[in-house]
Amino acid sequence: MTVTAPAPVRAFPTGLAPRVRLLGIRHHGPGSARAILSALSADPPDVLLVEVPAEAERIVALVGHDDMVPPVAMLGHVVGRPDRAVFLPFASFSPEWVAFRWAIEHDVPVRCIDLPLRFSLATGAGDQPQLTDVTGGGRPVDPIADLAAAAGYDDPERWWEDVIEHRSPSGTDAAEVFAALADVMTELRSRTDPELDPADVDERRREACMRIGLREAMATDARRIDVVCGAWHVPALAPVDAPGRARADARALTGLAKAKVALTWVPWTHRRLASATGYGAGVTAPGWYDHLFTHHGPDVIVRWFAQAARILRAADVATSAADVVEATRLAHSLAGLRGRPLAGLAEVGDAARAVLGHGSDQPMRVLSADLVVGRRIGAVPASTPMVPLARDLADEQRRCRLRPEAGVKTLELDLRKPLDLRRSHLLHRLELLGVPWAYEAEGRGTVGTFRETWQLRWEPEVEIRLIESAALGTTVASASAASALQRAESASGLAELTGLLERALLADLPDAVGELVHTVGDRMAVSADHAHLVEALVPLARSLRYGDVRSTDADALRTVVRGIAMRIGAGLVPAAVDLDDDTSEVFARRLRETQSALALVGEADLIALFHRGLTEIVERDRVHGLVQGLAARMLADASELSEADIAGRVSRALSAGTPALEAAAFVEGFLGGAGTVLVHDPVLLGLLDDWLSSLAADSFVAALPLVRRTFGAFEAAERRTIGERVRFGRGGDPGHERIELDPERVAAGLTTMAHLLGVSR
Amino acid sequence: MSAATPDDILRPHAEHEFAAELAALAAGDDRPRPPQWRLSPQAVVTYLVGGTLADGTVVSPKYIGERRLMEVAVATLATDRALLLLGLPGTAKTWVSEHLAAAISGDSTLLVQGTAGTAEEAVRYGWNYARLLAEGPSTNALVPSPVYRAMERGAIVRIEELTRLPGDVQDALITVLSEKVMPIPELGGEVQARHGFNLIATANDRDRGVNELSSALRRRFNTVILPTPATIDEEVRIVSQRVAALGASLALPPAAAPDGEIRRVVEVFRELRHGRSEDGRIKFKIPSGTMSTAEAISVVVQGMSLAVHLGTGSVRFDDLLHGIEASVVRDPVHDTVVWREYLDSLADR
Repeated sequence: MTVTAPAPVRAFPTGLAPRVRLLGIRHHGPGSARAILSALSADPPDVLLVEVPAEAERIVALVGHDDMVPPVAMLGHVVGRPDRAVFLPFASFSPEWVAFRWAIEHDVPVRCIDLPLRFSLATGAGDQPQLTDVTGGGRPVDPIADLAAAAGYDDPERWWEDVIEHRSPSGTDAAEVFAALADVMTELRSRTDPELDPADVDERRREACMRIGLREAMATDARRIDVVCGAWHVPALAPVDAPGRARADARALTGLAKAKVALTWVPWTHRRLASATGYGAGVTAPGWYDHLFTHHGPDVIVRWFAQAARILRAADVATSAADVVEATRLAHSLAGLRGRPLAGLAEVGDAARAVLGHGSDQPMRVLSADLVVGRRIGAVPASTPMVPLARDLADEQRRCRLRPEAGVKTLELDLRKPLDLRRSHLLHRLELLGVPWAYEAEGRGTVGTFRETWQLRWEPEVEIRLIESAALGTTVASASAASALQRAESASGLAELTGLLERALLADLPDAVGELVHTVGDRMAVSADHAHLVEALVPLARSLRYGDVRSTDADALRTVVRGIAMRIGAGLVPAAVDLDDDTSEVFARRLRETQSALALVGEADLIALFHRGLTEIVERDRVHGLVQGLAARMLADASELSEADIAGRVSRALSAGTPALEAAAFVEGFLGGAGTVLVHDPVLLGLLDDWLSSLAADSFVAALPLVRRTFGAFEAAERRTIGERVRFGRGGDPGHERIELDPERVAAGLTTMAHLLGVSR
Repeated sequence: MSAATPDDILRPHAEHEFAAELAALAAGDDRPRPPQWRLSPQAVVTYLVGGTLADGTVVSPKYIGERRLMEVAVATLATDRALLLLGLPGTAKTWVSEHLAAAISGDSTLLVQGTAGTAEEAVRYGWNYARLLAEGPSTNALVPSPVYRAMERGAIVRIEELTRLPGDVQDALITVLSEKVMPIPELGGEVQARHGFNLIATANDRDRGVNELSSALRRRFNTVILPTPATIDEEVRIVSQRVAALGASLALPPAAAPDGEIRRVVEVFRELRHGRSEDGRIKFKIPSGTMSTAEAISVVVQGMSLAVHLGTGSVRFDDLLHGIEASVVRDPVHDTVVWREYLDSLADR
């Protein structure tokens, strides 16, 4: 039998040959799903062939299980190589899913006829799980886009909706749609025929395999055969028994490399279905499609807006019934204006914006998660084979010699040992992944010790979380990296991001670290808040100093740290101005944190910039005394100010023109809990003494509490020495006169000191 | 109001300036028109966004930007809901409303300019007091407002700067919009709007605080926000077009503002407005000013005028920078830092 015409109905006229219908679909098209359903129920087949990898036949039966809730994904992976995997997601409105369900309900056998995964995954390149085909094959050019462009549409999605999805086929209409679609695809394929394209060897193998599957079905006693496949493949399946075809097809599949593969179902989400990256299926609006599929009919738009109004009201956006009516009217009117048979997501979005949002995108943003994308999360039955992520964790646990136990167990890790380091990485990764197995009871602390303490407890939730996280990746490492990046996307503040970065470093996820460093860099560039910048600097400086950072990441990290430090340095003076008592204390703490972080980073120019800021603060008006005092002290400690400068500055702060309270605050900041400087610097002590004695009675009373607090923070010995110095007069040095040194005893001590310091005596 | 347009009119109404385009559109328009509309909704959209008609007439684009927005605006007017155009200064709100009125009703002159001093008479009706005293209350003594006339004629009326109208004047519109009726208690009668009546209001996004719309009034509008231009090419096109038009009326030669300089000015405005460089590689802080297209236009025109009358006859980017600085620095503390950082990055590139 020679078949040239593509239309399936014409291709297989009644006669001795079985009736074969080629039902071309658009993957994840609700209109296609409805058309499939009406075609199947109008004329039920004896056997149903579906374009999914052959191995899937083993797990198709699970589709009928009560606990199976879409969206779910079929996950195939090479055994022992969970990183070589492919996800095939299905939603409730996916035509293949609808076909599976129908077949199981009607006891019709299902054959999966696409190229088996044992071939396609054997040669699959890269570590990233691949995206499955979206609209009927991984062609270089999108045929739907060409069609849409030819019809004058700028958006291929809309063209498909107008021409195919909104036709609402039923009975014979459905057959017409399939025939028309086949015609169009034949026309398209005549221009870009994959058979003629040597690069598209994959596509040829798949179609050869599908033809073989179809021929096998035709050889059985099945009289009515239906094939559900991507519309693109219909013309390739029509000439199924052309002379020489069978031999050519067999040839196309000989000598292919094989791999051992395993298949399972994993829960999927609408969000993941919609995500443009990762293993999303390229559906932009699964929630909307789901609505179209469930509520098909004349009131589909008004129902959608009614639902939208309910969600908006819950989000405190006032939305009246009149708004629902007006939005529906506008959506219909826009569809009319644009010449579309039914309002689509574009019209609905425009109407929601103009009526419900008063011009703003806010309602659509609220609705996007709930109605456009949808919050639906799938579920798989307990009898489903284990997901690779869980298997990878089990492997890791074996390697780390950590057994899951139900009771609480405390684990002390010494990170200098390779095994413990490996354990630490695993536990940190699980924490990033949100798998609640271990909690860090005691971390490495601020100075980077080599010890960590963990509390472990295995609960059923762990397994559930693993299955839920299956979509993030197939190994603990890749999944936790993906989780870190996902969280970084929604992180609200810079500190949250740098916290994530620190944890990614602890979890030894170099790829995530690289990405996070960039994100931090981007976010930093627009953050002007001094407090946030300091908060972000501290963990980063710590990571840079003590973290196990690869050299390439270290450079990137250093750049970010430098950027933050520069911004802190540049913004120091404006941030220091006009603070009250409480905020200046906070600011002083931040100054100290910055100083120690900069010391960890150890870059001279950053420290110099910081010091320049401090110098300006010291001289600046409207800066709180506490801050000025601390700045002066930091500069003095760094020898940025000469002794004479310091004396001059302190003198100015303590002179009569400065209010007593401000002067006392300056003293507090300057002495900052350590009185040694007063013991060793008679000039400073003198200035302070003069100031205190010169205070008028009421000023003295006002300043006293602050001074008391300052001195209260000193060591008792320091206080005593200072007191003695003041009593014996500033010029004199009471110690010299009273202490008699015994040269022999001193010599013994000095010898020990010299030994400790490594100098010869 | 005279139908003829003398040549020396500084700025003719849209329906006169583009009379030829409107006539061509009407001639080739076979789609259904809502009652009293001069054109079908599709043709109105074409008039706004431009295109070439079947008979070869080229319709110039009045609005350069997303077609989607114009479609929502026109569809709104077709559903008899009032239209509120929101946007920053310089996003062509008034321009769009004038052209909508011209295309739909063939008359863009029914206009109420909203100010703090606009009285209720401007949206309802007033009285000719001489007549009122002489003849007593009658339709003859009544002075109709543009809204009143639009209702009678079934035409589009425009209200500029809606949020500048005092609250009680805004409230007078509620009955008009929801019941399509204006009661005249003095005469014991009312005006009922004819088919084709509708209202287009414009308001400034940043003005919300002046006299915020009551939620009762807001609910009677479909709102379209006119955004700042999406791409640099679009914005350069808008600025060049408007600079050329403004320059012509000020007798400034178009060569005074070369395209390259306009593009650089637009680039600075866009980078500061969005807080990132056009190539997306550098981030900036965003100044407190609006950095609108209108300001970019005035910077260029001011620069042209300086260059022609007091300078070398052609603007240089460095001179324009001073004009831009004046647009950027509104808050002397924050914006000065922003501007300095931006200039540094400009020097680095």
